[in-house]
Amino acid sequence: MSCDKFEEYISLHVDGKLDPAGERSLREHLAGCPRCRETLAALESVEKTVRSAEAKEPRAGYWDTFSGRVMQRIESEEERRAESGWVKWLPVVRPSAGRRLRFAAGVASIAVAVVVGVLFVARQGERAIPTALQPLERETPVEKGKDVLAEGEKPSDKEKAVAVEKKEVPPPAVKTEAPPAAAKTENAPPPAQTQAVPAPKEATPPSAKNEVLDVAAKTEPAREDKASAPAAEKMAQPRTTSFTTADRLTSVTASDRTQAAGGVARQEVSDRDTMLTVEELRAFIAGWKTQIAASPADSLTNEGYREVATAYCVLAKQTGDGADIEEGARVIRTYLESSRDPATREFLAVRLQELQELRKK
Amino acid sequence: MVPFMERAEERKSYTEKSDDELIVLVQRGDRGSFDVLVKRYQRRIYFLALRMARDPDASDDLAQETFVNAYFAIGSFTVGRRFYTWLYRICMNLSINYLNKRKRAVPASQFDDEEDVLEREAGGPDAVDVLISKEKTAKIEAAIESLSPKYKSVLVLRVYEDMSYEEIAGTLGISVGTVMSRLFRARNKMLEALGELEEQDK
Repeated sequence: MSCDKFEEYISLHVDGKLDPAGERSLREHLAGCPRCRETLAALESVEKTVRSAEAKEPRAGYWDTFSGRVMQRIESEEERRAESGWVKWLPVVRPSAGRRLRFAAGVASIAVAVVVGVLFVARQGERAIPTALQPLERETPVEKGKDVLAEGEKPSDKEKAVAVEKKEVPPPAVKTEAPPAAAKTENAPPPAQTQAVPAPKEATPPSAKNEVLDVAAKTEPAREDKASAPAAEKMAQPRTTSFTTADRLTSVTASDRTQAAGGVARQEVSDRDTMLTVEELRAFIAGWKTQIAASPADSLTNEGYREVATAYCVLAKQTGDGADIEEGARVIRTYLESSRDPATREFLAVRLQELQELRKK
Repeated sequence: MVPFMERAEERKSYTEKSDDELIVLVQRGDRGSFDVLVKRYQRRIYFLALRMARDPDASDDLAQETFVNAYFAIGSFTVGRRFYTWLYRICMNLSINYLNKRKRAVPASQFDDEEDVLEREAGGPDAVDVLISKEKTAKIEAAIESLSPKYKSVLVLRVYEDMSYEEIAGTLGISVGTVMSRLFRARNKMLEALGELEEQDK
């Protein structure tokens, strides 16, 4: 057995997690391997030092004011939410009074339903009216159309005619998936820095996409990138815009997914995506990353991997920036490592290849 | 209308309530109970953030934000689960995001300044030992700092927080197997970085 394997044993041994058989073979190996003995000694010494090092206490009086400042932040956040538009109709910001919560949940579900409905209608219109932002599809339009149809959508004859005429893929309608929170792991914590309104368990939460984008838009630039704060504010305002943004990408991903499953080796990200600005794409990516980081075991994670990968491809094409290509490739590679879903892995591989080809160019 | 004294009595006993009892109260709209929870976990969360960010100001912000996020998401918390694991997870996610965004390492040390130690220990028989150990600690700290957030997070939870593999897995939302392999890699990378730092000094 190589030293590499024993280094892993050493790590387990230090934590007291090596089984008896492993301990025995490690002991035997150590007897004849000075290098591994040295590694073990170094590790033990380092961890002993680390454990004994005392962290620096904050300034005097820090702990006396800590919780007060937290409560202040909570209050001002509640006020901010109460003042910002329709959110004021949602008393859920104050997790009080079960009845009000349920009422708020009802209002929220209706609001989501209305937004989805409006978007659906808007999209129907969008399909019928070709614009400069929706150039012709370049590859295998007929097959794409078929794949999308296979996903269960049944466009009207008129739509079919338009699609053929434009040689454009009709994107699937607004996804009617189960509310994502229902699919979430129990007690998955909120996405980092999320400002999500706490919903009672019986509530129908707003679309996760919506939420994710909201998180991205509101929080991404907030901490460090103060310069782009106005842009973020602009994005944070209309929730419906966020939804549309997410939905556009989702539609592309959905059709791509069917294609990947259908064995089409490679396809370009649809030019429909160029409707998104670079900024929106970055916010979209950041939002999904936050979501993935917040609940990696979530059933939405694989979808997140695909969304992020697609968005990186679109982004890299838009900016043509080597850094974006590299970052995208790096991220996709880590997703490839993490994902256990064969369809997702296949999808990611296609995206990675796409980025690699971009890099060659 | 609850009499004032009765309420005060209630409040007094809050510190004796369990996490779950307090959480239920918060879920019913009692904000004061959340204050008790914050006080209960503020140190652990602050120091966890400090281990990750190594910057007191950033850690303060991360710790505060951890609690604010927890408050607004407490409706989704299932009573019966461990609250601090949930808090840790929020804090780790925020910290990892922060580290990913931070372009370069912050030089500030999370440990006592060398001058403080010198002052305290001046003339003492252990002064030299303290200095050597201080130097070693600084190097180790730099080696841990050089790790990517992915590796740093498992190492911090294992070594500083003394969490079990299962707890780390729960906190980071990864499998126990992944915890094992990340710890092994993190340790390897840390020793490598340490070796390089010592090499530079020679």
